[in-house]
Amino acid sequence: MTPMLATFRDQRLRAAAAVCAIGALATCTRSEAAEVDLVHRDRTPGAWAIQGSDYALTRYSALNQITTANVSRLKTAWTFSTGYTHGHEGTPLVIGKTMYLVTPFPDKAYALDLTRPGTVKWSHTPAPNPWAEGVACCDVVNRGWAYADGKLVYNLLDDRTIALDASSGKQIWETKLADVNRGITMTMAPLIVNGKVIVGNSGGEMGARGWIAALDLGSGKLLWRAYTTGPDSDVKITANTRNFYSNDRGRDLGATSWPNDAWKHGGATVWGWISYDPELNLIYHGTSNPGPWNGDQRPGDNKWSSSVFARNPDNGEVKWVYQFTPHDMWDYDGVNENILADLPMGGRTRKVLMHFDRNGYGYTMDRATGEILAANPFVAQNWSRGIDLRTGAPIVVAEKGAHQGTMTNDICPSTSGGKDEEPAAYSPRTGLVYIPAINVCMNKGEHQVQYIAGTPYMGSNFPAIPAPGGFKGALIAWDPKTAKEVWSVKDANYPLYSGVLTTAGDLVFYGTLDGVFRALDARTGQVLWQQQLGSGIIGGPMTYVGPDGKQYVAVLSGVGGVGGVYAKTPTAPPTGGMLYVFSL
Amino acid sequence: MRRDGAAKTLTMAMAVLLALTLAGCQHDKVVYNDDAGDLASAPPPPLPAPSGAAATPEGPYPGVAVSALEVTTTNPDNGDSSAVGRGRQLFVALNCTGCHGFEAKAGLMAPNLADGYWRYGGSDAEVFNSIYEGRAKGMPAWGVFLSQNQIWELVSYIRSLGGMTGPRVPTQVNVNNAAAGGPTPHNKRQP
Repeated sequence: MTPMLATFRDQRLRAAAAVCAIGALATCTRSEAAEVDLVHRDRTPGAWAIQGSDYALTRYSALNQITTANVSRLKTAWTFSTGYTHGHEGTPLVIGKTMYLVTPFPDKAYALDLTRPGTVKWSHTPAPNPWAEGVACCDVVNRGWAYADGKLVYNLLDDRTIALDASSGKQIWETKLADVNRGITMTMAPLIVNGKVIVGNSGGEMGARGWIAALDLGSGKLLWRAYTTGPDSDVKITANTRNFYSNDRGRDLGATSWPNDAWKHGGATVWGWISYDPELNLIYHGTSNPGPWNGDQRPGDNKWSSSVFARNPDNGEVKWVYQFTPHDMWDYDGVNENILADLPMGGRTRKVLMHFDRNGYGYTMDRATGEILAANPFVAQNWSRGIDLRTGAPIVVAEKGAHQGTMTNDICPSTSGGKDEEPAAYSPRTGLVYIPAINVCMNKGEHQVQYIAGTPYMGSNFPAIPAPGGFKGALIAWDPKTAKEVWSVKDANYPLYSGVLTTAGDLVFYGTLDGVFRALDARTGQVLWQQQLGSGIIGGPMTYVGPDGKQYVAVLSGVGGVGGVYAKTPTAPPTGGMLYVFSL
Repeated sequence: MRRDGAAKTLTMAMAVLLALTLAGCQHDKVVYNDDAGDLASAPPPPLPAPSGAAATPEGPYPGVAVSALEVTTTNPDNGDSSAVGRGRQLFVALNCTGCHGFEAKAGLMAPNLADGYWRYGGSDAEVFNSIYEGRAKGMPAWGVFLSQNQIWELVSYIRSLGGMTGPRVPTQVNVNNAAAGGPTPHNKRQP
């Protein structure tokens, strides 16, 4: 747990954090109503109640029964077939004696009874509009589900957010947020803070306009919606907004940094992760690539695509925003997770966010102000010569731009980015971030497109080519204070699309697109254990304490998503969703 | 093609969709919120229409256009190599590349059109009908606003990729007496 989260200022949080020690489960009876402490994560280490382990999205667990000394004895305890063959990107949640899973489209929810491992307590089959399948750009995944106040909350691909009674699976409310016929879908994991469900849209490849919205946890009522392109009033940039860099200051940049009304179909969707700092009362979220991909059709910075926002979750107001990749020509979405920690830097403790962007740079930023403290590439990149820390702007290499009527060769990273949405983990014990990285380059050429509702708004040809180094994937241990690699474990044949888990047993767990689930020594990178699973891994591993008091590690296997494209080799294992649970 | 028939079908399909949507709201004790706001109501910018095409419809999903083409019909452009180039231009201009891939050999969202595998048939008429009517999982019903000539040009381009088949001879099946409500002929199928 991060030191900055050691105190509460917000009374509401203190009330919500009514702790019931999971593991000492005798006190948790009625509907397992125990709230899990998402701030002081080590108070309820046996549970896993939010996709990223805590509000800071560290994906760190204080559990330490499984250690570097005994992990070699890890064995499959039980498995569960989800029944679906699309990509399984989420992380199972465990609250009390129940595990919660949601499948890819049609977004079926399962509650599994951990007192009888592998058995179903209830399931819920929603009926999302099948047309949604046809407008989801990158497989019909569900990136994650959320739990609070006895409710399981998640998004359906057809733009509805639903809340289920976690004890029965009965639907309590649903809220329709957009129209799939306009190419908008919802795949991201909601974040629940201050009694609000924060959700965002997908469709950056379909000419959608990005937004993030807050719904009332009790009723599903829409409380606010902020757009990510357009005038300041739509974006919720106000007199209180303080952007650190002058490039990001100015009136209505979300409209004026585009030609004409191009911002109305300008992408910048909110399909990644949201983290939360309760002390600053700020949420952090990224935005996707601009639309269309063909940058020649949208001269300008195209704000606020490929950016990170700090917002007040109570009203959506922007505290600050920073654009990682102005005028993105390479599909370098800025949606990857922002991991929060307090780090000793320059002789004092800085409240930082750590972000590993598709553009290949690892950023350590002051999360109160948006200042970049350190930024260096974590994979091969050649589209820029570095980040100018005085201006915050990347120094772009003009020859690596992608343009209409010509093919630019050898651009790194590829449209997959140096890292995609698959989340990294941060261990406060080692001080290292563990980045699941992609080392692939591309050639890229553009052509004119027109917006046609429900069809791709891209205009790009972008064949992938090998990257320097002779490997495609790497699990990189990264020092966020210096923004430098400490060690890495490379995979020759497949990029990494798996989330990462790190534990107080000083272990790092992650999987590969060809289905190898692996445990590393968090300090040295030595591979201590691995097992071949039935399908490639694009989900996020987690760990929990079962009703028997034992520590378990769980991960969804089931290749798909963008990673699924790389896994279509003759020797990669097939698709198919299966939960694997391991124990000593 | 029955233009007015297609328009009528479009209206009916919208009515059906509306009814389905409303039915979907009537779960017991479910609070249903529709706050799509300006996102849903903002009109799309006008499409610079390809020559001869009608205006872009919103959401040309399958069911809004029904082709009456005989299954044995062959492409009138067969043998006209210039139709291939015009079809390729349309394939790019209509954003087909975004789903089927730049070379039409599979993308993230839609199948390979060059590999000889045809879920809905690979003859001239069958590929024409798939383009005209749209198909499940994302294929729009382009018949709503492309001309027959333009669709034949697209078929010419797809045939040039080498995966299409010859015309499939329709099998006359007389199960339970077609006149008394047996299977409908292939070219009269309903949306």
